[in-house]
Amino acid sequence: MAWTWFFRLGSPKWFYQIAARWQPWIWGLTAIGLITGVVWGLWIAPPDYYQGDLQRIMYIHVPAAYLSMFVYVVMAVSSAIGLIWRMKMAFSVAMSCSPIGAAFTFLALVTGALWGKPTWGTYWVFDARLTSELILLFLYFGHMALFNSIHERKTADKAAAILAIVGVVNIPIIHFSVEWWNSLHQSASLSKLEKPAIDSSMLWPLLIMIVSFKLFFVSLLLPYLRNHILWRERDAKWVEEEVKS
Amino acid sequence: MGDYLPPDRWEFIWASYAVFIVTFIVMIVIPIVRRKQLKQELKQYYQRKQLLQNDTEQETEKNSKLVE
Repeated sequence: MAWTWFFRLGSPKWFYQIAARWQPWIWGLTAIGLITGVVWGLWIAPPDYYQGDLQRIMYIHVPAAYLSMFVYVVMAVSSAIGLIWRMKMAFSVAMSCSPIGAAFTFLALVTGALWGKPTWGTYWVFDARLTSELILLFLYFGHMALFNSIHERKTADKAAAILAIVGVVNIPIIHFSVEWWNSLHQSASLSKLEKPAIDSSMLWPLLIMIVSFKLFFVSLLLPYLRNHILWRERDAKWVEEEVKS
Repeated sequence: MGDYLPPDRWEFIWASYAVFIVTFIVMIVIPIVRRKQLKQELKQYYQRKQLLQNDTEQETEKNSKLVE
């Protein structure tokens, strides 16, 4: 039963229709999560002892940075699935991920710079964490540019997929950069294995924002993917009917 | 440490949240605009396809008449 559901995901027509049904629910959950997280982070969470109210930038910077890496991993995994099992939908997922991932990376870099100026005294330094995150942004741009520069669809799929898979090496570099090299950037506040380094009054709004950002990613992925499916399947009868309706 | 004054630089906080809201709005608007453009492009694509098909059919008809 579970496998039937999985294999049906590979059908563009089925996915296109089911995504339209899921969209309003996911958008609703995302809106509730984001509003709760922003209100909690901006007005309810206490100021930090050292950084004061500036720590409120954390509620958007940290989820954006997590998502910038998470989206890349999703993109690389779907590229690998596309290459191994020749699944069209997997290539579409990978292609729909790159503009979203680029936006989260941009947000992480800008909010990081705005947090850095009053705390470090500078908007930007070429240290390991910041530079590897900037490389991630270029990888997203490269992925989109490469796909759009090749006219033949199958070649474009393969080339973009290989770039996505090769670029995944940057993800552990970003994650461990603060441990491997001396950096202005602080080490991770949240870890899967250790007790969180931040107080629960700040941890809860942060967790809500992380979950809401992930929901936002899914909410965005569906319309991007539906557009990509329309373009990709343009010669299919059902797409023609959908466009003309 | 007792008289430490935390830096209350709200302009940086508001700027961060403004960038966040603008980025999110742009990300929401892009697929909506793209969908409209795409539907328009595809309508033109189907029209061109139909015209090409009609031309080919007429050409085949003409040729078959010539042969007869």
